[in-house]
Amino acid sequence: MGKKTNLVGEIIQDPKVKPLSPHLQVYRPQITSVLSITHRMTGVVLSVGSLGLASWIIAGAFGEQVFSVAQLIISYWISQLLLFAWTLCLFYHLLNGIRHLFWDAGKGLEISQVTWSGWFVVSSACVLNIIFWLIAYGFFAKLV
Amino acid sequence: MAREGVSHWWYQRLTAVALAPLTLWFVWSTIQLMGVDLAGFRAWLSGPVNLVLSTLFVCTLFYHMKLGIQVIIEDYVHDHVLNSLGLIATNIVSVVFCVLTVVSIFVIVFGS
Ligand code: HEM
Repeated sequence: MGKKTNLVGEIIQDPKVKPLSPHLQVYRPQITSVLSITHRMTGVVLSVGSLGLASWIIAGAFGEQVFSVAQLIISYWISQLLLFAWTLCLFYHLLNGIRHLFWDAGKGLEISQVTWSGWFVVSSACVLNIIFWLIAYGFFAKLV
Repeated sequence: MAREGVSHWWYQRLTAVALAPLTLWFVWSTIQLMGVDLAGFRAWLSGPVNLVLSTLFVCTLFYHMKLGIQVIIEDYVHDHVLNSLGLIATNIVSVVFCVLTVVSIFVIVFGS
């Protein structure tokens, strides 16, 4: 497919063709670009996990026996590990999503702000995830 | 086509704004639901607030997910046939799972 050009050699965009996302490889990895693709990847992970979450609820509609099988599957250590990763994605995507919404409102767009909010989102997601799992395993209940 | 893109963008933000508080509520709820049996789950789900928020969460979640996955497919899948198939599959999976889940919630609460 040869590209159409005008008289001065500029490529004429076919109006039916949507512009493509820039290729990822041409950038040097930076906190900004890495976090941007991470938002997308966590979005995909969350989507897959949401189908699992839905399946868990659907299992409940089939009665006590099916639901207890679902609960058993969730209790395996490998499932717990996957859930740990999933909630980390959830906390990251939640916080970074809020960061996105601030940008959409025109706030926090200066490069220094983008950098610190990026690190803030990453560290907060990690901390929240650890606190969440400590609570889930009754760690704080044992303390008091 | 251009108009569609703009509303798509808006619905992605709108669902994100709704999901932010709903997700916090969901995270909090899962802690209480760790290892429950069905009776416990039913008791929790039968609280009117939990019933309404669960339903809202599931619907918003699957709508947000559908929009998000479709943007990704549009960005990366350039083969025309695969692109269309991907978009259709995303639609079907989202709608089917959303409906099944909401129906299940109501079966658990109101079923015998
Ligand atoms: C389990 C729940 C969620 C799933 C499955 C999910 C999934 C996705 C997916 C697949 C995308 C597309 C990513 C892209 O286009 O690069 C996306 C984008 C987005 N999500 Fe979520 N998401 C969830 C929860 C949330 C929450 C709680 C927020 C809170 C603010 C949020 C905010 C956003 C925003 C703002 C975008 C647009 C980002 C952009 O323009 O690149 N999401 N989500």
